[in-house]
Amino acid sequence: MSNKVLQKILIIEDDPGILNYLKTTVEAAGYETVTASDGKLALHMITSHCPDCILLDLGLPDMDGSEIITSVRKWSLTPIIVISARNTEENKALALDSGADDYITKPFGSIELLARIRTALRHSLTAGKNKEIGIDGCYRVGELEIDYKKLKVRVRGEDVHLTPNEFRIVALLGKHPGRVMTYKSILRELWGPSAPMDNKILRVHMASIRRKIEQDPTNPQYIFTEVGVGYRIAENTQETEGRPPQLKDSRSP
Amino acid sequence: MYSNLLRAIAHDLRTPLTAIIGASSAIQEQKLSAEDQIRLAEGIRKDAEWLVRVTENLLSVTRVSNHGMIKKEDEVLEEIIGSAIMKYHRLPGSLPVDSDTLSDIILVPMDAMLIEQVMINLFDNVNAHAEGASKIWIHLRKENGMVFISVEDDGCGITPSLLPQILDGTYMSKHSRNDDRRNMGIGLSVCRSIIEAHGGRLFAGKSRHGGAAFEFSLPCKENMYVE
Repeated sequence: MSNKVLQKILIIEDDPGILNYLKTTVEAAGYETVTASDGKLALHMITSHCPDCILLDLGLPDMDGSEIITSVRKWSLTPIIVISARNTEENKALALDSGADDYITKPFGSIELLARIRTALRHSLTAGKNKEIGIDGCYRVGELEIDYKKLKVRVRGEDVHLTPNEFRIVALLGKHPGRVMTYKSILRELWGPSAPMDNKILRVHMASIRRKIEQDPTNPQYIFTEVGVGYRIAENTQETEGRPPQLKDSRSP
Repeated sequence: MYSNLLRAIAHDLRTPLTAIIGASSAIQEQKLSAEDQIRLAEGIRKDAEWLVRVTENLLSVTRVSNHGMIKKEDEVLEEIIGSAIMKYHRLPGSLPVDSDTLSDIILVPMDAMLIEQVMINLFDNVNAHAEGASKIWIHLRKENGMVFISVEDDGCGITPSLLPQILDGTYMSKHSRNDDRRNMGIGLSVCRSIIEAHGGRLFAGKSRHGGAAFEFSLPCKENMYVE
């Protein structure tokens, strides 16, 4: 580890207190940091420093956060983690739809922050493809198995009878484990660009899926709801700190 | 109502702020052992987390106070319950939560963030007041186009004579104790205004599990059966 080139994190944050916290934590974890306190500077830093990961506070003084994301995505796949306040679901969804990889809601502890950074860096190495889908064409997490060859979902080895649309939703989430898929992106992917922007259809499908694959739909193990934003399927990784449902066992200290 | 609320807020803010300033100044200015510093930092974090919850309640109030301006969407009830449980379980000292499941898919028109806030407040409330509670139950029933969500515990319960004051938010101002943070604070009155803005009601009473029960109702839609 010591002779490796440090991975570089760009922190875009205008509040000095939060910046101090982010910088100290990220550096203590062994990353190099560069910082920017407004959008204009941030765009300049991205081109001149080529960071490995970007932490972006959505509430910048001079520019809308999603503008930065859109502009970066024109030429770079650098993972972007958006830092946002609660009660701003529309902004989170917009940021994800503009190409952000993940979001973290204020306030957050250092364990959660670092876990998100590691996840984002790991995903960037696999270029968005789920490398956990094996040569047998299956994605497995816990006792859930999505079989992309036979187009089937199994739980504890048993076939689950999903409708075609239900299968497509699960299959789509399974291609992006650990990542939040917004309602909009799921609807688009499934029903095309002219998809009805009706989240209700999706929610009812999801409720039905949960009844078929989860033992307790109010305490899901596989598909999580990000209220007002979208859905996320469980990820197969040791890296579970700061991410439900494992939180129940390893609460942030 | 307004001055009551502001008083409750000031109350909820002052104590943890005092503790935070005290603890951080001690870390800066005093020669403390590493263990003491960590202990003080833990206290700072706990107090700050409390302040976050107060602030979230305030944000919720601002979202409700524009009468009729709540943006409701049809949500599947269990998603919101599940998400509230997950968030509650991030808090230190949270209790296990056991929720009823309904075979029907119940759609409730709501502002999901606000109803989630109601649930988290009611869970928090158990931690703060239900002495001896070991578990939280969520019981669900549907009746005449309303869904009733009851958050119950097996703790010490509520003295019946205090029930009306607890629900109208006047309980805390009259019964300030030494440990100010143990007050109902603004949590329950926020719950009430959120629920009423959704056309529902909040009730308090005794739980079948021996402790307190806080039940709220929300208008819901027809059953959605799935194949």
